[in-house]
Amino acid sequence: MEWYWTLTIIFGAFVVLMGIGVPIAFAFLAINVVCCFIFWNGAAGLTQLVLSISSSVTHYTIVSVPLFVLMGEVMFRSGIASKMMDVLDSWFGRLPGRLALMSVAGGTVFAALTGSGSAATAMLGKLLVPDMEKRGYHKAMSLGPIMGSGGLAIMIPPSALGVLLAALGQFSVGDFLVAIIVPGLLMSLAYAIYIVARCSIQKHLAPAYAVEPVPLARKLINTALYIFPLFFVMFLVVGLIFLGVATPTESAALGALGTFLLAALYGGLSLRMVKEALLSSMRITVMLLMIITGSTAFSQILAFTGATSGLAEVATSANVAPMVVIIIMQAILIVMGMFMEPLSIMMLTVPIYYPVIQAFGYDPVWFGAIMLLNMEMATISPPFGLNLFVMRGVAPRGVTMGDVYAASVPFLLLDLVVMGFLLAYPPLVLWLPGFISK
Amino acid sequence: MNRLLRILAACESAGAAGATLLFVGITLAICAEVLLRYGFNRPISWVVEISEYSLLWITFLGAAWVLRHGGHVRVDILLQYLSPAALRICGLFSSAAGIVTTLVLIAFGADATWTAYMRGAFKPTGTDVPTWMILIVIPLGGLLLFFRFARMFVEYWTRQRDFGAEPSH
Repeated sequence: MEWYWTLTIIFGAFVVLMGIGVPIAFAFLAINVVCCFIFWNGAAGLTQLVLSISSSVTHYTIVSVPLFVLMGEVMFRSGIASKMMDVLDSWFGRLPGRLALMSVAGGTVFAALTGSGSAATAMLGKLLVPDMEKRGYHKAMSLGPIMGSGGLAIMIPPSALGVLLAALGQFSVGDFLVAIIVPGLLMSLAYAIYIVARCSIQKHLAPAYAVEPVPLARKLINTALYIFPLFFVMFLVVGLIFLGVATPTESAALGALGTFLLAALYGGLSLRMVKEALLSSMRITVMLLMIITGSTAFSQILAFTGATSGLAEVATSANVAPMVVIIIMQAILIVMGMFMEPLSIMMLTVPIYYPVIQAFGYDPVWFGAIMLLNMEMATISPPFGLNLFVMRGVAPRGVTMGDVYAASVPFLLLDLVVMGFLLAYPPLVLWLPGFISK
Repeated sequence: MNRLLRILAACESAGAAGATLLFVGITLAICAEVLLRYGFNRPISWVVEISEYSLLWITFLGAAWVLRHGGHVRVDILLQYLSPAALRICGLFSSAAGIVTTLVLIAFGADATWTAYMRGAFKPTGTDVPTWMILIVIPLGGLLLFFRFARMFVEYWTRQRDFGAEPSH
């Protein structure tokens, strides 16, 4: 059988299993079971599958995934996040689209402390939407900025999804976590420019209101108390990798420990909170890792059936510029992102995409950053992006799914603009990792 | 029957508790390792390896518990447009797919574990952890998953369960 028929059947089976509601992790395992049995000589293939499950998850870098998830859980449950927003609030004057800008600023700082986009979206929504509602903000200026900013958690380290992408694509997690910093900040900048520009032109979208001035001394003290310690945690996560002192996993463990210390200092640490944060992190971690258990076997199957090399050959022998192929690849990811969640998209595409990237001689970290940005878009692209539903869940009554969809569009376009910059000018991604001391 | 279900739920919760303890343990071990390496120049050699194996244990110890709470992400947005009868059929097929998959995990996981045990295989990386100790969690976790999928199948069959009744993410 030609490889493209095999590939179509495998992807078709995956879509059917997903469609009838099989959890994604078990859809991958079921396909692996059938394919290993057929392609790898029956029972021997299934023994091989069991061994591949073990080798898929037992990587030291993946240990940072539960640690990043835990950091976010502690950060959100201990009240550190809401204290931080209060301090930010005191610094922001009468800016156009003030609350929308606060969502971007808050989202950027959250992103540097947590690794989960949905948690950040829910948190920003809960903290900011009631105020936005009270001040008469239009839905485009309340829902949109929150969804955009929540997604930054994926793009600014620590990023659990980023670690998994690097693990699947087999490139350096440390380099990658540092490489996504500039693209992530570019996204915040793009959001901020858009909000200021649009609110200056259409003033009714975000009515200005009087801000109670806070004495400078108090602002400074609060900043020293509640913002500077956060930089300490950020330093543990990114700084230690940067200085070459600790591996990404070690800095993740120290970051998690640092978050606990902060929570304890602020009095947000209770036995109950710790238990809830741990169990919730376990739930997310087990869910993610269970999907990853299928990754090695799945990519080996794609390679064995000839699909991987077949597609790579099509891509490299086609009479078009490599950049066109890269753009087509991203376009496919965008379409998949409308219907699927990021990790399964990565599982399906990384084994096929990375050989092509290698054949073209592109830097895997550069391509990874663009792909991760694409995965961030997947969480807010209609109709099925996960964070759209998270947003709907924390939005006030009367907000329809249509409102949420409409609000997401400008931010998806902004993401596309940033993606264009990254494609056109790779140093935006590759410049910063060059300074990591090895 | 109710008693058996309670035992299953207790085993699942015990698995989750074990996974959580393991996670806390490796987190502390990694922190201690970094401090000892830089503070006292005495690295602990086993930390990296043991944390890697722990990931497999955490995943399979916690998997059935996460399944019971509907925490394994799935696409259920399309399903809301189906009729109750069609939903029941989807539920039967999807839990059947889970049953078959976990049976393979149990059978071949047990076989791989037993083979590793008989051969005395170990990881020749310094810690010399016997391979069977790492692999055995696959059939064990598979067993819990099997019972949970079987229970879901029975619930759909006897119409005790509506599809999508469990919380999903």
